[in-house]
Order: sequence, then structure tokens, then C-alpha cells
Amino acid sequence: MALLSVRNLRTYFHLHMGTVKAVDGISFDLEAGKTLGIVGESGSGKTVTCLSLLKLIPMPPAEIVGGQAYLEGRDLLSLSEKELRGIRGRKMAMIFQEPMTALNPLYTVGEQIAETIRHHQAVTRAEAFEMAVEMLAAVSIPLPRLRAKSYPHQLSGGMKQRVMIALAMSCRPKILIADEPSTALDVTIQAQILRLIHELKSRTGTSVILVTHNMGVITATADEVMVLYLGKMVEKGEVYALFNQPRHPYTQGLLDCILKPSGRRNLPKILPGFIPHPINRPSGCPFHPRCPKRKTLCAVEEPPVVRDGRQETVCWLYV
Amino acid sequence: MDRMEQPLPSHRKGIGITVPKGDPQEILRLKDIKKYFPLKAGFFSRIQGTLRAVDGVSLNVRRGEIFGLVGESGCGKTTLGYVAGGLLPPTEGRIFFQGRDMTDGKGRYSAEEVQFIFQDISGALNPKWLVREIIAEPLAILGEAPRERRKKTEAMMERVGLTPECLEAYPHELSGGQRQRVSIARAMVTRPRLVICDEPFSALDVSVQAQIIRLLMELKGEMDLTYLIISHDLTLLEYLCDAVAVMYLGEVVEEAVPAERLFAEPLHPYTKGLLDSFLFADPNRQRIDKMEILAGEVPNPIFPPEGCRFHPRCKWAEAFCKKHKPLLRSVGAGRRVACHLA
Repeated sequence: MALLSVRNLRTYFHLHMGTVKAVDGISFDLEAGKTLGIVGESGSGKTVTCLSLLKLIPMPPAEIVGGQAYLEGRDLLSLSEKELRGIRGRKMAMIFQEPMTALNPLYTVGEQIAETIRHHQAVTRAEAFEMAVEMLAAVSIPLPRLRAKSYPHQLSGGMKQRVMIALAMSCRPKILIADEPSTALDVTIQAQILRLIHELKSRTGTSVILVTHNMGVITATADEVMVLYLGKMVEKGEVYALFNQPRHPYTQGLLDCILKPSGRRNLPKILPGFIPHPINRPSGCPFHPRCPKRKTLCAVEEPPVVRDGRQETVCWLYV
Repeated sequence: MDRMEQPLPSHRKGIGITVPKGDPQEILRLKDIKKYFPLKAGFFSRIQGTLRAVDGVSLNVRRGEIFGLVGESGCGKTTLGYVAGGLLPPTEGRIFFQGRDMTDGKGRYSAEEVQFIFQDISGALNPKWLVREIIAEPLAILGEAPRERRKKTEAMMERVGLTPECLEAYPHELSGGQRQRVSIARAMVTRPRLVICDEPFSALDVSVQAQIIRLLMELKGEMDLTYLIISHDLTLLEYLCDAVAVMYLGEVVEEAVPAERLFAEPLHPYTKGLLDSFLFADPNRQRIDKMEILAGEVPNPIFPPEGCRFHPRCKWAEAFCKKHKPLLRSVGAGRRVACHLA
């Protein structure tokens, strides 16, 4: 039994230029204690998928048109705003790419963590602050008691991201959603942050949904990976298998684009063409105009999900 | 049009006479470059301290090569690129471009010698100009006739893979990949000798990144270019570069020609730490829990540590390292390293 089951999630944006189907029929299961990586290029819907689960998208212009997301038997998408406030932070927490904009510049980081704790737990102000200091220590911030009294601008980028993680983990959520948690950081800090998320996950049994466009982040941390293209899933599978034997032509093309030292100074392989604007998504399989293996059917009808062991591929080639 | 058919601009005559002794293949030589920024504060803007962004860097870039500069934020790689390309004057040190001293007060780059491709693409393109005007600007600076400008702009735009409609668009109407192509077209339209690329791929999607890398490599072959690439992406540098230098807090700590030797056998503990911490997109590599990640953060560059600047993060550091600054010294052909222990 999966911890989180998302079925046929559809989130559309109604804009004056037309409707953008940002997420269009995405389904996945997240097991307890596992890390699911969601990869895709700009406009693939990876961030909107996560924001939809917590209803953190602006509605309107966005609208969750359909689907279910079951967490412990309850459909998150049908909950009221009041009920959701008990879920956000408590059951499911999120960390963002830009810790500078996600933290409030007017409050100390200790106050911000304590506020979250007090929202969900019946503790006094002083107790909450003590718990915040403990959380800062848990994310390996040196001198946590002193740092709890710092404002966000007094911390480095890596430290701010650690604070974000402390904030998200402060109520021991079942699921941590990390949207590009390490993208803006330096090479060594990036690895440190991902290691920290991994350690907290192992200690608390939290499941992680990790959104990124960096394949290195996926191969280092994810158990399962889901590849999105223009709001649709194209392939999903166990990381090792998917990277070694990608089945969908888009995944194959995407992984071929990754530079390998063995190919030094050769012209890199490329995926021809551009990602179309999401407002005019191609008919049938959205990847068909760029696909080297397309058949006439691909432009007409959407391909079904084809299962091969744990790997799922949405492509007519394997039907 | 072939470059050789064009008459040499006046300032380029005399190449070969002023070339100082050294490598004739050398296009850019930086000699002990320092770039300090005064930190001002208070009512009278009194100088409170000095940020030593670049602190004594010497490098040689050879004609036709791809030279990579790698390091974390605050290591001075971007500042060094700006100094090398004439966007910032150095506080100290000399810059020789094709043998000409660019630091003697008269030296100035022309638009057909050095061009830049910037990291922040949106900030680098004037939002009020049409793409056509942006690409043609360097030609206007060189005083080319309007007809010639139009011809070259259109040819270059087609070469970088932009559709004719893009010429009449404003930058905000284009996608990130298209904007990067515009900035490449602008840099290449004058057929420069050296192109300094500051994180040219970091904001792009994987598939677009591959397209842009391929384009830059093709253009290099067609136009006999030299690239100075500033990046933190080790995969990219390993793939592209002929020579590579690693910077830490304003100094070069390691350098290797050919570049692959640095990746195969890093000598400086910092280089090793960077390589160990980098997330290569390879499922057969170690997972995050097994990786040997370099601990700590880059210290505040206003107060760099004494002795070897890397010593607080170095697990092999000895008492000697805390007192004495290591010099960048040759260790075998094509390799230099600044470490007491290497």
C-alpha cells in the first residue's frame, strides 16, 4: 500500500491566450521511506504537479480539473482550505529552490521554525523555540542557539537552505517535497544539502518527492524516477534501470544529451527541435513532432501506459 | 566570407613584432593579475576594507584552445574573465593579447577581438531593442555600412538557428534557448578571436544545453575561435576543455594541460574535493550516502584564511599550511599546483 497515490491529476491554467494543460493526467505512487525523482524540462509540469498536491497554486488562473491524491486514505484534492492547513507542514512539507524568497526577511529563522511548530502542536512559545534550536542542530547548523536569532540575510545560501529543511522537517512530515532544492547552490554545498535530506529521510522514514532538471541529482539520490514532457508522464521506473535502459524515445534522447567524458570533443548528440509552447501542445503523443521513431498513429491518438516489470513507458512503440 | 579577405584593421598590423618572447601560439597571457574592490561604507564612503576578488593569477591561453576556469561562488572566476576581456581594469598585473600589452594605458580591445557571452542572458540583452539591433550593434561599433550590417546579421542569425521572425522580436518574446542563441550571434557576428563565456549553459534545459554546446563547438571549428569558459559544471569542462584552471578565493590552486589529466588525477585537495562532491549523471557512480563530500563552505573572501586559503576545509592540512602560503609551482609537464603536500 503506497503512502501517497496520485491518480490522473489534471491542473489547467486558464489564461487569456487560451488554456495551458500544465499537468494532464499524471499518476504515481510514493512508497514510505522512498525518494521519487521527477525530471523534465521547462514547462513539463513537474513543479505544478507538486504545488497541486498542496493546493499552493493560485486559483484562478489555475484549476485542478480532475484527479485524486490519496494520503493515508484521504483525498487531498477534495479537502477544504481549513483541513489542508492541518496537512501542510504536518503531513506534507515543501522546500523551494529559492530559500531567500521562501523565508520571511523580517523574522529570525528561529521564530519562523517555532511558528510552524506552534501551528501544529500544543506547545508554549519557549518550548517551540527550544524545538527550533534542536531542528537547527539536526540540520548541522553550527552554533544553533545563536543562529536561531539570525535573520535570513545574515546566513549564506547553503545555511538558508538548511534552515528551509529544518522548517520543513520540524513537524516530522510523512512526505517532503523538494523542488530544485540544490539548484542555486555551489557544487560542494549542493552535495551537502542532498546528503542532509538523505540522512533526515533515513532517520525519520519520511518519503521524498524530488523535483529537478539535474540528472546528477537524480542518479545520486532517487529510488524511482518519473520523466515528464509537456504535462504528461512519458516514462517511469527504478533509477538504475531507467538510466541504463531508457525505453521512451524522449528519455533516450534526453539521456543522450548528457555529456560523457568518453565522447570528449565530439559534437554532443542533440534532441532536434524545440519544446513547443504548452498552449499548443501537439496532438496524440506530445513528443511526436520531435520523435525519430514516430509512426502515423502517434500524431492521432495518445499512447497508453505500457508496463515492463516496474518500468512504465507511455509510447506506441511497445504496444 | 573568409576572414582573410578583409583588410587588417590598423591596430592589428605589427603583430609578430611586439610579441614578447614565449609561445607564438599564445593568444592571451595574464601576468600576476590582481583585482581588488574597495568596500565603502558610512557617510563619507570611507574605505572599510578590501575584497581581493582576484589575487595574483597568471595564465596563458593558446590560440584555438578551449580554456576552462572552474571554482565555487566568490572564487573570482567571473571577475578574472571580466578583467581578461577588458571589462574591468586590473588593480595590478599585465594582460597581453596577441602580444599587445592591454594594460599600458593605450591598449584597448576591438569588437572583433574579444566578445562575451554572459550568464544572465536576459540582463545581457537590451529589452528595448529588437533582436536585429542587438546582433548588429558590434558591427555598428566597428563602423560597418548598414547594408553590410544587415547582410551579416541575417547570415549569423541563420547560422545560430534562429528563424527570420526572431529578428523582429524583442528579447522577452523568445525562449531561454533562443535568447542564448541571440547572445551567441551577437558575440560571433564580428568574427572575434577570443570569446569569453561566463556560465553559458547553466540556466538552460538539458536538451537545449546540448544544442548550444554543439553550436559553440561548430562555430569554433568554422571561425577558428578561442574560448575561455567560466563554469562550475565539471562534466562540461571535462568534455570541452583543452586546458583547465581551478580557482579558490581569488587564486589559481591547480592547472592542467591537457585538461583530462586534472580529472583523472587531481593533485590539489580542493580539486579532489570538488570532483568527489560533484553529482555526475551516471547511475553507476556512488550514491549520495557513499560519496566523500567536501565539508564546510567557502569562507568570506573579505577575510581569507592565512597561509593556504584552503586549509580550514582541507583534511590533510598540517600546522605548516596554516602559516605559509603555497606558491603555484610546476609539477611535471603541463601541470601546476599550489599545495605544500602535493
